[in-house]
Amino acid sequence: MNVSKDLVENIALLKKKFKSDQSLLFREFSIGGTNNVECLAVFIDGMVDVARINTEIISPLLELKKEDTEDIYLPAVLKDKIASAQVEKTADFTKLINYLLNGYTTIFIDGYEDALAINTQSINRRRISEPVSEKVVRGPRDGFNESLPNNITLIRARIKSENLKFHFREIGRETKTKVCLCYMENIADDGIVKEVEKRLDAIDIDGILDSGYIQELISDEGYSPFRTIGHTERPDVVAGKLLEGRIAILCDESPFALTLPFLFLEYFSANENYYNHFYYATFNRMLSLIGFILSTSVPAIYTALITFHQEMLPTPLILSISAARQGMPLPTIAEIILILFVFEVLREASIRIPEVVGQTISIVGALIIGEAAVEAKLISAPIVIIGALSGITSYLVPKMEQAGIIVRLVILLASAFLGLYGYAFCGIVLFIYLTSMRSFGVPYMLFDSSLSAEDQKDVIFRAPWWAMNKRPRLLASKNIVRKKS
Amino acid sequence: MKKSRQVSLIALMIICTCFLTGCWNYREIEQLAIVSGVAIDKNGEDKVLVTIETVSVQQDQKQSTLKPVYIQSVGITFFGAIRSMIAVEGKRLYWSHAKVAIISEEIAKEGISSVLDFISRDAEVREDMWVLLSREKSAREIFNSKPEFESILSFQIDNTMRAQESVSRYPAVELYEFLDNIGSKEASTTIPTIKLIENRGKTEVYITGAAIIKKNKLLGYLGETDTRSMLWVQNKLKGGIYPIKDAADTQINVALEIFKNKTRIKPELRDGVPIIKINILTDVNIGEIMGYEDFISEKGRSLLEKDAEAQIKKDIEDLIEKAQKEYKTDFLGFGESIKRSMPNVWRSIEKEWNEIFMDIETSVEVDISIKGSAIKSKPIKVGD
Repeated sequence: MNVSKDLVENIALLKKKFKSDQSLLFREFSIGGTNNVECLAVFIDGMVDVARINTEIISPLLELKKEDTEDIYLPAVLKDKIASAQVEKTADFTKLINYLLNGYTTIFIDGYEDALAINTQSINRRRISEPVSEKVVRGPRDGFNESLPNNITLIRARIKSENLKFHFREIGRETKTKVCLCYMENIADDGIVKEVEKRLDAIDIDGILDSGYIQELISDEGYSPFRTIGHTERPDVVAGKLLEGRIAILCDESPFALTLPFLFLEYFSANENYYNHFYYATFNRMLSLIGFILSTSVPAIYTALITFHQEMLPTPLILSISAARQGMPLPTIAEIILILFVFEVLREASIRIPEVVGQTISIVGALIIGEAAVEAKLISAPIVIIGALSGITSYLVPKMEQAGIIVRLVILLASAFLGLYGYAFCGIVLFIYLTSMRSFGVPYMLFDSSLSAEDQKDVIFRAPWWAMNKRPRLLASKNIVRKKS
Repeated sequence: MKKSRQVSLIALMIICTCFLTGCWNYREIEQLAIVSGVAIDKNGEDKVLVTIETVSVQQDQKQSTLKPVYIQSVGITFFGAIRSMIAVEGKRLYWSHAKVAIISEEIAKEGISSVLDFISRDAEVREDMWVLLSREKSAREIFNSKPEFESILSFQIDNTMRAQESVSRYPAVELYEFLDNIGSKEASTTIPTIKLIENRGKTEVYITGAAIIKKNKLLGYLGETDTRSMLWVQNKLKGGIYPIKDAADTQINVALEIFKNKTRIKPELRDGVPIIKINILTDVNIGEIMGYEDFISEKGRSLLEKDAEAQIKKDIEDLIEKAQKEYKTDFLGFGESIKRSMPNVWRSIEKEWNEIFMDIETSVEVDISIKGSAIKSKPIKVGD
């Protein structure tokens, strides 16, 4: 729809669209001395930097004299006069409203169709702070915040290469969220980039509020508890992955950037892994792997051994567990499910609890679950240990938390039905399932079973940086050699 | 097939499988009565009297105590006797942790393997149970003594059997080994014996010596020294103390600690007649010198060695004589060694082996080497 030449009409239209919206502010002024051309500046309160409007827009325009405004095409003149870095000229009313909603100031000139839009966006954002969800001991402490330009800058500051490309799009019919696709042109696989763009363009949804929406909408294995797209709050993580040939998606209003393709072994390495000494890094990775195995297997194996294979335990252990279980009301499997449920309740509640009450509740939780329930003979003491062990080790791999809950439960049920055979069976099924998954064409368990030394440099062991000559293949097949010499 | 149909079919299969299998073998641990040991006696002509020791666990306020509970039952078969115990106990017996089987003399005189069939056949019962022979009138009397060091007698016996290597006064025979030996051609083996003794007013269990089983029947007993000599000849000696009385014609007793031994039984043919040569190489430490005599210097050591060698040789020759004349059974493995190294000869003498064994010539050579004397190189000096 076009802007009208008549200023009054434009004002009426705006007022109609933004009925009783007091955040839309109008500033009418006339320029050109005695020529008295009526102009209107419209902006949305709270999204603009008023000081800039005053100094960059209104001041210079008010200084125009009669001679400057006679017999010339005013929109062009005004565009030159405005001391701002971003000025757009358009006659499209819808576009102008879009600009308005993005924090631009629009200038309407009486008698002309063309209107100007100047970028004066200034939305109060969170300062750059240490990401809460991914704390490290060694490594940079800046994290993404909700502003897309800021996030892009954080990445740009790390990779100052002309090969780093950013493609913008707007996704979401109502939210018109700016989404940015980012990759290294000389490293990333073209096929994957094309596929990602295709999927992003195919998204049809009314609103994107967080990168999580995009993650679900474009990811390969929709039903799997294991993710095929990773997310992170840290710019150095994203930069590292970009250099390996991965693609990042940044979403406005979301501090979490997506990286894809995401492989299974990425669950186990925190980014510190690459900054610390490689012995320590290797040790930490193995610890993570052990943590994953323990947290999913411990309840299952305990159940299987206690209820099916009592002959496998040493006699003193059997006797003490038997002693602990005398007079217990619930069968073992029910006890374990109960304790896992309680642990999940505690975990979820502790995220939501207001800080004031937090301390009290945690003490209450520990005491009640730990001491009183055991003494009241509701659950047996070994079960509390099993539940705690399973829960704590799941935090060795915090990214795997969500998948871990489901895997743990399924393996537990399988063991409860079929003993160790069920555990083995379920483990095999899980493994087959994982190896059959693909993330944007790349096998999910890439490198995990590869025996070539080159591949193994970054799986369980983290080879020192002077030994990592190549980028991961299949992701960076275009440009696989890291070093020049 | 449509996706929803696929999913529902799989769900149906899983649900059906769960119900149909009914998770067999799911047993709650507190519903098991854990059997720790069994004593087998005869009851009358044809019946078996089984006494089992089960562990009953009590938990009160974080303290768990183990108590032994004994159950007896009679039946014409071992299995039958055991099953009827459920009527008494209420809980199902769980045999996978049973450690000890004590057999009475009576049964041994008639034939051991008959009562052991169930134990070897059943899947739950472990074949690494220790087999012992009771020297008391019956096997169940052994369970009358109250164990000193563990709450459960069978666990204490289990500990003692595991420590056999340090004592070497009784053989340690696990069930599968016992059954293997019985099944071999000579069908003679030895098992440890257990008896009750009075000690500081209490009845205690004492494992000592061995019983010789030939062709499934009890043949006789061996004392402690003979048992040690037997273990020596069979190359099963791995430790223990060898005391020498009045070493080298002094009034001083010396204890030698054995820590390594290699025995070789070599059969040879002399004029077409097989003879057995036994070569013993033992490494010992001087563990104790009960007086002031220098056995540690080069000269003293060689004196001691010679004396020890002579004594050991005598012990072993005594044993061989007993085996040949008194028991007339080759439980030392001479036949096996001939079979292994001279199979042709063995084939020709196999049938008369028993007679040949009674007169076969043996020569024993013992070589003791004293490797050390713990941390002191001199005996305790007594000042003037």
